[in-house]
Amino acid sequence: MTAHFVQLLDDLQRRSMRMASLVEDVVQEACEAVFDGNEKLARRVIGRDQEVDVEEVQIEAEVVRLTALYQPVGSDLRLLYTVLKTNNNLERIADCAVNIAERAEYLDRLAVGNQVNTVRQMTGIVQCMLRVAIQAYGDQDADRGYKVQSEDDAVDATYAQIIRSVVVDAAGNPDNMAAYLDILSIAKNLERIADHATNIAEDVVYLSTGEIIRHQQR
Amino acid sequence: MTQSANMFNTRLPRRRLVAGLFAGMFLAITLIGVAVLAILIVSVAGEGWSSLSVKFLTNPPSRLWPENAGLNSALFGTLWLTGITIVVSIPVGVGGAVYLEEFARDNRLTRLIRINIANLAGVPSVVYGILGLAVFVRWLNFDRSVLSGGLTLSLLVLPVVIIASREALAGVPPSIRHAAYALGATKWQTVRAHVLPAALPGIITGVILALSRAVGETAPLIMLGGLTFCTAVPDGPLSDFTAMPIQIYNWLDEPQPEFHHLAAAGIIVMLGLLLSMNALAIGIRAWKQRRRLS
Amino acid sequence: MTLMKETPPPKQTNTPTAPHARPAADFSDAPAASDVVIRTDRLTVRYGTFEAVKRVSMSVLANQVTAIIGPSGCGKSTLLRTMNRMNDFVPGVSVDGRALFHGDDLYASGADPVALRRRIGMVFQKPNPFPKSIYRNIAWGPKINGYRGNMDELVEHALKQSALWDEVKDKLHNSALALSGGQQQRLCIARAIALQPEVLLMDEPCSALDPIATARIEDLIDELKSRFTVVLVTHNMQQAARVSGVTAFMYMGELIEVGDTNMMFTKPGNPKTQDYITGRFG
Repeated sequence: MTAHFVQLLDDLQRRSMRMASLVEDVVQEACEAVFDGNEKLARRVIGRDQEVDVEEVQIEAEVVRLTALYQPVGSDLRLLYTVLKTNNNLERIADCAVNIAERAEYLDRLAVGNQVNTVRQMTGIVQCMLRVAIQAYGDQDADRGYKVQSEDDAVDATYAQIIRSVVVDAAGNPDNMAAYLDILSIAKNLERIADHATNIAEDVVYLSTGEIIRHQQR
Repeated sequence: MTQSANMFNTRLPRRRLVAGLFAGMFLAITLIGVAVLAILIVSVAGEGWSSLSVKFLTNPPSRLWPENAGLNSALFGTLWLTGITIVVSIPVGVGGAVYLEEFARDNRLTRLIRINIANLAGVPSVVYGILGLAVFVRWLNFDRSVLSGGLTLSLLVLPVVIIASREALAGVPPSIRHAAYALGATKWQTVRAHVLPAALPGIITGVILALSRAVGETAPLIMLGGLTFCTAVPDGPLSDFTAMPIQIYNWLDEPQPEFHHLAAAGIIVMLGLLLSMNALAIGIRAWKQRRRLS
Repeated sequence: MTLMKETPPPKQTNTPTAPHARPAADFSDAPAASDVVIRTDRLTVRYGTFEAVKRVSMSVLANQVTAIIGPSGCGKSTLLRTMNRMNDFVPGVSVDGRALFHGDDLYASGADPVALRRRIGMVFQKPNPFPKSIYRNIAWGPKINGYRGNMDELVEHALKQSALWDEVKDKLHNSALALSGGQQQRLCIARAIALQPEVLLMDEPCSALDPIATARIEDLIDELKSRFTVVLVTHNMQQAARVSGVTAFMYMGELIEVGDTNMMFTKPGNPKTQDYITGRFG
């Protein structure tokens, strides 16, 4: 019976990793779409988000089933718990990516010249955080988990900086308000993706060491 | 399904035939045994029935007048012997069994004792008669009294009582003892309150079977010189005595056929006594069982 | 005993790291002396030349349920029976090291096992009521120990404490053997607690019972812990997880790990414990 359970756990982990891969791609495509104004790509992003939603529900059902039937304890229990939470975080990340992609059609890049580069850099950092968090999840590597956690403050600071910059510019150019709102929305969603990636990283640390490091001062 | 069925050649009809044959054979053997027993009893009963009467039981034996002869002294002799045997062999036998089974350590000495008791159970009863003659009649000067006879019979049945009691005690599950010990009881408290009561049916059965054997023993009593002709009922442990097996043997020795009828009647009485004792044993067992399960 | 691989601590935390289940023989943060009821110190039990229990050191705390788990033959029952000297009845047994009850050595030359067993009671794997009435089953122990109070009240109290009173109050003088398996086991528990022991040792008390009877006895154990200290040997890990506050894991005679039950089942420190509770080995 245990051998079967171990096999089921492996299958579940692989499935979760495939979903994580999918979400990584989605985020990358969303960022590309919004900065190139690529509406086709944006629509693809929205389509793939639906795939993500379906997969999320199925993975969650599988976690509940394994917990009920096999009463796992110890590291098996922590694994299922982590899969469940990561599943949730990945789905939210995909939703944020969709929000970003939706701006592709409307964003007036010229109007927000001051902020565009900063936001572009932000996408690079956030995607990197997400990638490392997913790698940590796949390898159950707490070291990488800690690293991702430590990057989140910088992202928050960047976001604050963008807000300040927009406020200043918007006061002077109220006609471009739509563009400013769009860029703020994109930055906001990027910051949210960073938060969710950090959550995944913190859950990986729990999985690996059994310690809960969320909400701690770093 | 058919695949596996073809791997077996069950030969059921032949097997059933063999089983039936063996069952029939065992039944036949049993019936032979029962038939022989039935024939014996019927022939004895047929021969002795007419001589049975109240007078038979209350009259002393007589060499001269078979129509007046009775079993009086022999019957009371047997009862006295049985009484003494009970008084001596039960405490010693059951007590010994309790000691050997519950209190003695398992070392070479106890193992030696156990083996010897088993051997003693198989010693011919004549040997006990010789022993009784030497020890009770001569050395302790009890002379040829019912006390000597009773003590000799006690020795005879003692190994049987010990063995039966030990089996009964060993049959009490250890879980009962552990339960008692876990409540802070000493070994004696445990034995007295739980082990002995649980073993009692087995012990009683063993005791009564041992006594049944004692009732029928003739050889040791003859060795002791239990007077072969005695008309007096014993009035004390040191009086002379006779017993039923001896009296029956006497009557069979007489040439007149009337005495043989008396012997047959005596056998019927003795069988009756033995059957009653066995019935008592069974009854006590059944009563104890019922009480336990109520 | 291997400790878990140490991970680098996060920077500048002001919440303390959550404690792991601690490995055995770690007396560095031993509980307060008043809390420890039974303590073993490098206890070793041999049957002839076979070492059933090897240098086990652990503490049993007051008013707690301490569970001992492990695969068959790991020595957990032997360890339990050492605590009330029921091992004395096994021929060829020898004990090294110490077992202390409130600081007194149980195996000292002057120690009286009979007196000990009134204070440390035991419930066995298979229910073993005496073949007597329910009343006499419970009353016998107190009687031989010289109980001077009202026996009827004592019997009623014991039966109420083991959740059996309502089912038998009208048939106290019926034979105990007429009860069902679960009722018999509750009777055995009542019989043990009638002596008002301090500690109750339970050797796989539910393994011969069906799930419903098991559940009732687990509820009972949970209630009993407020009045007694309970040490429970079980081969059912989920039972240990449900019922106990402290769990000890034994394997091949050694104590591998002991700690708070929650810790033992979410993040055990020793990989052997981890493998056992996740069923990776028997």
